Amino acid sequence: MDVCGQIVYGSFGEILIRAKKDAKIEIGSLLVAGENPAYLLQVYDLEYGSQLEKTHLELTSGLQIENKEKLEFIEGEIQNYVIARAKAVLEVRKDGGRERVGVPKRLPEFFGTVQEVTPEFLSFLEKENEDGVFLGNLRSGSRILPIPVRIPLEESLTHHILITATTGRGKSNLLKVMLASILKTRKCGVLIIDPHDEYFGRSGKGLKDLEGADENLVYYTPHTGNLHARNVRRLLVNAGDIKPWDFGGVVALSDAQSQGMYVLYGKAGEEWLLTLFDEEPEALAGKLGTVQVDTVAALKRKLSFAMERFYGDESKTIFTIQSGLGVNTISEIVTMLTDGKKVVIDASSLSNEAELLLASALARRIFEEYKQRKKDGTLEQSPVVSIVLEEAPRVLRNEESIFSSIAREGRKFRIGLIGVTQLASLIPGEVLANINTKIILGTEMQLERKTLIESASQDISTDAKLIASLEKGEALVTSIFTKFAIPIYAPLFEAAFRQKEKKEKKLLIGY
Amino acid sequence: MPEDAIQRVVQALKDLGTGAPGVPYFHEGIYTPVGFERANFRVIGNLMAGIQKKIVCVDGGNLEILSTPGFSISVIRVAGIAFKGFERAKNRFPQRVECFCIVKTVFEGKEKKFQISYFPVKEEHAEFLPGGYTLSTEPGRIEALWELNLKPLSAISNHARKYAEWFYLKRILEFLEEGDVVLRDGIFQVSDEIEAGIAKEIFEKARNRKVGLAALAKTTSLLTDTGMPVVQVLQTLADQWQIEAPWYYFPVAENLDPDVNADIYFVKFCNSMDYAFRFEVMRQTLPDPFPLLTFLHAHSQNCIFPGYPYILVAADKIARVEQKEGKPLYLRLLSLLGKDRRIRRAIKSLDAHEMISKY
Repeated sequence: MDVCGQIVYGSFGEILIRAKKDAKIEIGSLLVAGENPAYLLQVYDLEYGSQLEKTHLELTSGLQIENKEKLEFIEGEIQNYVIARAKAVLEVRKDGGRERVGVPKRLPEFFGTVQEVTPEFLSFLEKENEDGVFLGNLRSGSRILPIPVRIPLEESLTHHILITATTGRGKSNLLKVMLASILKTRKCGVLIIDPHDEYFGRSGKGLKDLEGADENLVYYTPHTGNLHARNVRRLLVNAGDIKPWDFGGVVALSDAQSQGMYVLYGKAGEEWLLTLFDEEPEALAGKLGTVQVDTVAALKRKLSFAMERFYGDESKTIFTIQSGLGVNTISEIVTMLTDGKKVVIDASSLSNEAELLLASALARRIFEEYKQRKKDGTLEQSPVVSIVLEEAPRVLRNEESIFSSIAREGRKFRIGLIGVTQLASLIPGEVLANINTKIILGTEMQLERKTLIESASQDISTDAKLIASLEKGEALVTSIFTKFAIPIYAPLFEAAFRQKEKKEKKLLIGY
Repeated sequence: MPEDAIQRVVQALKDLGTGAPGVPYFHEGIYTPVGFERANFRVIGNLMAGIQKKIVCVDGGNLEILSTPGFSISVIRVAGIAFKGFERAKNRFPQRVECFCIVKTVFEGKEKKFQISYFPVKEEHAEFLPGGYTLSTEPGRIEALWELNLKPLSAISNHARKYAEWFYLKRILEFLEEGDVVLRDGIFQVSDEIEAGIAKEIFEKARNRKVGLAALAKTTSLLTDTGMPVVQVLQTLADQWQIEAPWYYFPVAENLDPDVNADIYFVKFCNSMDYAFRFEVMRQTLPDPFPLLTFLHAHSQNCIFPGYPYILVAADKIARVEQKEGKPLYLRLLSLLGKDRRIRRAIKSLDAHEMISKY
């Protein structure tokens, strides 16, 4: 390992390193200090250092820029340099033939040299979670190392994952990369509510093109068009499968409307929505007795809207009230998920409320199914199920939502969430605290960075600049399943295909 | 401070430096002053291409650690930094040697003498340091030393440092090649017999080995016979005669000493800085000092001290003994020496200032 700097000062959590000339130390660089124990240091800030005083430098600058003298720094690398601020993130101790990796509790040797990290030094990471969820390759600053970063499959999915970034920083790509790495395994089912129809690969490369897709991937879309693959299904849900509680957190109902809805369900059973939509409010209110006409009318209007009945053409909505149509869709999807398959729902043409209603109905059935399995004692043999939610705060900030319940209790029932959002700050703190893996891509917004730093699984209080400087595809993973907040680079999903075609070495090591 | 007193001080100095320049004033007899003339200003070339050889700058630093009327302990550091052009050159001698130095007052009959002993920090550096000297204060032998009779021992530590510098310089000559140059931080003038003895050996050795000897002093107290600093007069004259730096001025005096042969120049490397320096060359070892001047000019175009050669800055940096280095050494020595009550009392005889300054 080449020496790239020397520890000159500092304290625990703030180790000052004088960088060697031409050393490529960046924000986020991983460095190694010492031998046994060796310390893995992560750079979180950089500043100029000089042997010359500020006023002296200002005077010299004046002489130069005012063209008074042609001056230069002789042996400039000795006079002026970069000071890197770093923190120790790992202590690696060799004990006989064994490597013990732990949280540092001491400082590395004073005035000791530091080297750039090598893949060999971090080889212990490579061995971890070999069948886990691949997130990307380990990154030291902008240097991508050939070390795959994975988190344990079942534990990380049931402890929930949050992917957060501003637009265009690679959230969807990262998710594709993650899904690709678990597509072949039947140890987990994943439900992907896809509002942009970008995961399956309807019009380009996508999950469908990966090995294992034929057996393990199912795509539901309202627009099957000329898609005739075995794993493509038309998305059509019978209204009879939608229960009053599925609207919780989806449609804002007053107490009276909510009560009216349950009274109606009590009277009409599975045909409650058919009854609501077919009958006039006056007549229905009369039959229900305790519910006002205005309440019925408002309920009808709100639920119609959520189920996209405003088209006037039933073929344009995924929710049908026709008997016999789409009656098995929800249970079919639940079966697939509990069988460890990955189900992508094309929600690109659905309204926000329709999308949430469908997601809510599916989530609730899975939750009910796994609650039952726990009672039956069969849960532990069942694959974990994860639900991917775009714009996660939409549902996670509402306590009535089934997703809030899953966030709090899902772990006990082997169900987890993968939330994707730009605005983690809108997610309640209690829910955020229950999300044990956060994958932080670039975000310029200070409030978002603050929220993420405060709710991280590791102390990343010094990493605001690091997060702000993340480029597309670069991320910081903070998780109870990683030994430190790991910087990663998620490779381009499409690049995997290009590389395969060129028969080059795969960058996507996790595939 | 009362403002009117400050104003009166300023008024008293107002006319200083407005009189006639006069001629350089030398107290000793070996130099005959030469009047200032425009023709003696010459431009220093810009190209350093002529310098292929090694230039080694020698400097020293010292710090008194502990002092009593009877003995003084100091740290001395001597360094030699070598450059070829702008690149540091490797040396076959230690770049820096350090030692402790004890100066003890002894009496031989009625004569007070100073015994100087050196204790190298690294034993392998011992050959680059002198073993010790005895300095006599007998009036009439060396005038400057007679004054030392009245001064604290710390003044002798400065002498001890100078001896170490000279000794180190003499020693490293053996590792240099023909055409190399040793640049001393300071001047070639000596102040006592010990210095004079070592200097003479050095000049002899340098001449034999064909190694050039030069010196540049960052400060000079040389005056004209009208009481003006020579560097001030020369810069004023250069302005009047529209001579822009880099320039050198020669001669200011004729050297009549057959042993020393040091020619005195004055140099100014940077026009916008008000610094000019005394520069000396041992004529017999370095008949053509102009490539060296070009080198020094190039080194003066540096951002740390524009107008002052970088090689001297670098040597000073490595030779300097910082004040803050003294305290831990003082405490260490005190803890060992202070166990002896007699020594403790000896130390107390000079540290009352320190005690009161804590208040």
